[in-house]
Amino acid sequence: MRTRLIIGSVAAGLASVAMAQVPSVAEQVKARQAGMKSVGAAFKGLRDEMSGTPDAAAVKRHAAVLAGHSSKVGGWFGASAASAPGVTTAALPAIWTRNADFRKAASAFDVEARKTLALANAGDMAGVGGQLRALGGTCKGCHDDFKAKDD
Amino acid sequence: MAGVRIALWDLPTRIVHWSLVVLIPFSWWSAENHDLERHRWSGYAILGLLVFRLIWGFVGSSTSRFASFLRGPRAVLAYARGSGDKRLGHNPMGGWSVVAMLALLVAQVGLGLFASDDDGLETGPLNHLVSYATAETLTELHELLFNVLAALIALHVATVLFYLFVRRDNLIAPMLGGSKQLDAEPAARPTMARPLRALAVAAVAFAIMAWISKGAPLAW
Repeated sequence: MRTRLIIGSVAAGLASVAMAQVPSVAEQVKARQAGMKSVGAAFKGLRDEMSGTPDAAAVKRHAAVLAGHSSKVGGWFGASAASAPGVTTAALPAIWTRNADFRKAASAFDVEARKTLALANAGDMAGVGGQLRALGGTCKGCHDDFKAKDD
Repeated sequence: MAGVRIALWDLPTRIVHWSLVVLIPFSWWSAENHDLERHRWSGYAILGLLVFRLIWGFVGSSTSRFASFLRGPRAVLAYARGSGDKRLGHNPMGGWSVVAMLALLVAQVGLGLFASDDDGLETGPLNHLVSYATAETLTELHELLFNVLAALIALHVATVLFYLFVRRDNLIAPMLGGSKQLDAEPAARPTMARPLRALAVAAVAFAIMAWISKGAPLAW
């Protein structure tokens, strides 16, 4: 009885660990969409700051959010998150069929986000301003080929 | 042929009308092709035209004034039942159609001012005044509302064609040339506003449009 309980709870524990390690496609899609939204909001935050007199602390905060997410983008679109029936996603199949290109585009974003954070941390507001086009260009560079257009 | 030729639509009203005929499809086309730079310029032009037309609706020539063509429900119903209408200019139903199209255009341009593309690279000039989430919602509405606008424009064109082929009343020629041939002298001819007034209103409209396109700054 006792052994069974232990085996049972160990099995349940393992199962929950396994489930925690591989969330469903729907969960992964939800998580990455939330991540993308905070990336979008942080980029908008940077742009808004640059449209007036920038508040260095706010610029740093937004840049940190971006750099915090930028390294995760490749992982957001792992093999286990490819597709599932009934899950709506703007992620195009090309992400997985041309995965090397996708990863290159995603890491371009990571590189620019880190550059932006370095400039923000150094208090170089003009530098951040000049960096925005390159940074936003990496969003577009990936979206153009790997994200469905909603029209 | 006996009769008189009278001035019906002033030049500014016609310029606004035919500019919109060109700019609305261009706006649609440029958005579909993700040419948001040109889309923005087209939107600014429409914004300026709208501001002009709204002011002109109060100070322009008699046939362009809202007060002259916005009639109560009784007049609209009577016209719909076929009572006819002896007045020159927009008929009681057409007047409301004009206002509905103008209102939709104002809403459409207004939404576009706050919109943003997917990458946050191309934005309307007032995007910085709203949050990311709000801008997302307004952008979706901007895309949806165009369908309503297109439907209303289709109805407008269909109606004009109905008048042309069924009623044998060519509404297009006066909107092009400005004048209309009548069988007899009307009780009152429309009064046309002076060109100088149109220039003054155009200057005001341009200034307002330019200010909004710069992000509506409160200080220079």
